[in-house]
Amino acid sequence: MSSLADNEKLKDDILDIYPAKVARKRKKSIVLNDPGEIPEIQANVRTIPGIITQRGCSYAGCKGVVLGPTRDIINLTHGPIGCGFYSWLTRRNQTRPGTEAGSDENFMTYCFSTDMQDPNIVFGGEKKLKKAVKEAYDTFHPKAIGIFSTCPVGLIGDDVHAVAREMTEELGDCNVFGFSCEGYKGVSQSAGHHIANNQLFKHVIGKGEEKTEGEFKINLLGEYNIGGDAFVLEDIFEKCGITLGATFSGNSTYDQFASSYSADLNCIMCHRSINYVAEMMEEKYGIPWIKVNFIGAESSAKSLRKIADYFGSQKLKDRVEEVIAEEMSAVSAARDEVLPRTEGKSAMLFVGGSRAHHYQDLFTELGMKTLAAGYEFGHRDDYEGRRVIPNIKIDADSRNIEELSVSADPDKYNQRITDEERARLTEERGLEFSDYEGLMPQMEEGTLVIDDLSHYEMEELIKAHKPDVFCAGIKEKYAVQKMGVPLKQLHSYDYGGPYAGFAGAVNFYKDIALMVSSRVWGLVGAPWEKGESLSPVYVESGAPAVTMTE
Amino acid sequence: MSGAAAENYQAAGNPCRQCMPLGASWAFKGIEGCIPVLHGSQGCATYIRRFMISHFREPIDIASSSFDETTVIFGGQENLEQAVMNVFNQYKPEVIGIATTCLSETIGDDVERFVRELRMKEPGLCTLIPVSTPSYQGTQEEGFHRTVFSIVSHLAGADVGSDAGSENEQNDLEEQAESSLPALNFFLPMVTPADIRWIRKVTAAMKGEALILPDISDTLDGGLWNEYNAIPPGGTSVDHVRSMHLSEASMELGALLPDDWRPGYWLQKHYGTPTLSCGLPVGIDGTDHFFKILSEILGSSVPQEILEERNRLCDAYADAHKYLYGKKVVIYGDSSTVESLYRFTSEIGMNPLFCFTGSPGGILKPAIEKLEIPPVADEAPLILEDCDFADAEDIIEDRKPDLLIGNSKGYKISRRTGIPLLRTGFPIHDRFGASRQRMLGYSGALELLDRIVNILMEKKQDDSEVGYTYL
Repeated sequence: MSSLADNEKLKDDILDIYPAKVARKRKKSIVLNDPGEIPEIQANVRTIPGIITQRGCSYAGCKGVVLGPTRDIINLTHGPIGCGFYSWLTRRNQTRPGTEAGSDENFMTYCFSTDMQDPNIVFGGEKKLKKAVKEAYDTFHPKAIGIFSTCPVGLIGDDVHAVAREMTEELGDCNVFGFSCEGYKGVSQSAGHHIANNQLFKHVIGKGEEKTEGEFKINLLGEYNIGGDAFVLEDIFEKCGITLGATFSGNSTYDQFASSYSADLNCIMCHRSINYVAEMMEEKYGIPWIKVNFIGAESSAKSLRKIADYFGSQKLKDRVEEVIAEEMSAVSAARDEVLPRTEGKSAMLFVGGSRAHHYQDLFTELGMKTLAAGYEFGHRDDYEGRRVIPNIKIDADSRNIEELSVSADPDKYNQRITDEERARLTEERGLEFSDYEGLMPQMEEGTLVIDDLSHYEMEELIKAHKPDVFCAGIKEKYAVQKMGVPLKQLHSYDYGGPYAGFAGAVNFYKDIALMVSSRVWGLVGAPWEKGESLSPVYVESGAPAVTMTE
Repeated sequence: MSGAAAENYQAAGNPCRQCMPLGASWAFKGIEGCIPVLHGSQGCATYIRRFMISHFREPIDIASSSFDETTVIFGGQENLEQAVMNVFNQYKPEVIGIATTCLSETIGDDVERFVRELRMKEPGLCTLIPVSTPSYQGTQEEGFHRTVFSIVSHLAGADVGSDAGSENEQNDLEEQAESSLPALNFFLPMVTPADIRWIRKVTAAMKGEALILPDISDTLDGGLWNEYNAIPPGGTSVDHVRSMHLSEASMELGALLPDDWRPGYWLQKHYGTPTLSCGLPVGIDGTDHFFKILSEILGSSVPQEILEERNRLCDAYADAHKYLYGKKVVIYGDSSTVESLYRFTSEIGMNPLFCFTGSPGGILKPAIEKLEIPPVADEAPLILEDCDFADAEDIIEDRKPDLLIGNSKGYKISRRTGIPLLRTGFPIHDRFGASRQRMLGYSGALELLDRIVNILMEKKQDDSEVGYTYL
């Protein structure tokens, strides 16, 4: 097994198999980390055709990730059937509709598609789309309908935005909006997140006159309620007396999005998928944002303290400390129980745009070392920190994503915190606003950081380091397990979870302890295949063939 | 909300079908040393991988030519060439299967030509098999059958297609074919790895060699490995496909598609390889028919062991009769699975009162009508094509069946209505061992029968206030 010191050579070996042009490109995305002097990593660039990537498409990011968890907005896929089918409840987003009429809508269990056929491709699909919108409206009377474009839509010239405008007008009480999220746009699902969030910002956020009421009002951005994570966080906030206005977009409603302009702080979980919304909300409504991380018990405590520091209320600070103390006793007990099995073991994480970073905290709590990590669809700032944003080269793919120009809303803008107060909190309490320092500062020197890890590179990493747990998704799971390494899915949580907050940490400890305790890997290969001796032990003569117990 | 049940409805609500490139990927996964490349956006490959992997629980690598916006404008030739060369260099495959997607078809890429030109440029390349599979022209079933057809028509025989091998190779193949057991080609719909193993086993027991295309029995249901393989072992070898025209005969099982997409029909037309067609061997009648044909072609009798299986199955039918007779069942999924299960449930005395598929193409309904099975109940069964779960749900609530048989996507209806769901077909995402489910042959029918009886017994027991312990 290799040590971190061999990583330089491992990198060369990996690149060796590629043709020169591919090797030159991949070289920039495979970096040996140095937390002292963060090296530059190439990220958010096109996957080379034929390199088997784990990335999805723009449609997947838009419809599947961001809008997927919204239960009272009908998601209508405009395209042939496959895309709608594959994004139908695939991401395990959970939701809790109300029990009373009017709040009990839940369209997440439905898959709506225009199911385009040959003639629609030839003659255009707008007519069919209008009918589909009308059908969905007549059947369910939703507050809003989102139309999601698949690859052929842009090509055949269907204007989903025009259809949306027309239908909004025609229906009267239903907000219809379109998304130009054709699969080929952008380099990964990250482009789809941006397209989704831009449209939410334009068409939904701040559209309500309703305000969130409460003393300490926050929004949680970039939390999609996989496996019930958002439920855990909702409980924690409630215990602390913090009012959660809207979560983008786990367990959310249209009205919560609309009134989210009235919260006093935006807390960002997944920086990648939504940081631009936080920026825009600050400019338009005056809401400051901070980065939080509720993956890991220690990180959850830290994030709660940050929120309390922001509001500055002693009452809130005290309550937060009480909650942390209360929750930590169960966490410590669970951790003590599994530590003997997990301590000293190793992990690799290649997932998401924030999870490969956040989950390192949980592994640290388990006494496990992260040997290598990287994102599937992250950008440079998710690795190196927001300070590099001004230096990120804008390529054709990024230029194609609309940048909204935003200014202060004449009625709804309200600067929540003075510049002086902000500076004081940063200085005295270490509370950083509008900042995310990225994944690399946290990782050890010499560890490998790889963006858009390919299937082949993954194989080489595993051969070299044989980690005790590999964290990725279902596409990698069975390939990795064929190599004798258990894989923890961090997209779907292996259908377990929740893993957020304190209760989630306890779940994660148990699940990882379970994974590293599997006996199956020792059973691979029959003894005679391994050359072990097979001399049978015969029963000695005179001894009974079967020993009877009394 | 599709055409069949509510005529005015245009859109699909909770569809009961997937797309063409999924079927193509499935077929290519059954070729030895093959990596599929989907020509279009990378999302297609990603979605199909994650979907198939969660059903089979096996590694499934599918590459993509990763279109971007400039590709869309200038065409995908360069991307495809790059994709093929990168897959070739990384994986050293024997075959690269290239399936088109909605995107490349909409912009009008001529993939057949791209492949011809690339072959000329790179003579050392492995076998390339292109197939046209835009999702707006069909479902996973059409995608699967088109791909199998494309594999055979590109590879089998000496004088068709440039990948068919030299004359010498063909002579070798002929010698090889003569020296071994009589070979039989098998073309099946999308059945499980375990059922494919059964076909191979019974053909061997009848002194024949089964050339099954595609053969996913190892590639999509393999063991743990001592050493890592970039491409999972198993699958039909290219050489075997090349020699398919030399086989004794072809057997098309459960072929419901028009002749144009039938590889057996094609082999017969071009090479005179006789082709026999029968339904999937499901149930006693279906399996009897299968063995009759098999023993005629191979000139051997059905072994005692198989007859004993048949006898055991008859016995189980008799024992199960009281649990099954007249029980109302709804069957859904792809056309060939539904057609087979319609025959099977009718044979065991159930009442398949409503069958539906998402496939639009006028396939299922005529196939079931052709069977001329007298209905168990007075009311004729309702057979719907181009039907989605949104429509089906109303009908199910109305007809109150005792059992649903189909893929995992019917779970929501099952949960809401309390009607038990027996999972079969594709996709199965919420039960274990989908690849090992059996349906074919007497032994497969027995496994299926046991499962059906048990799920009904379990329901009866769970619903009972008394809590019977004998049922």
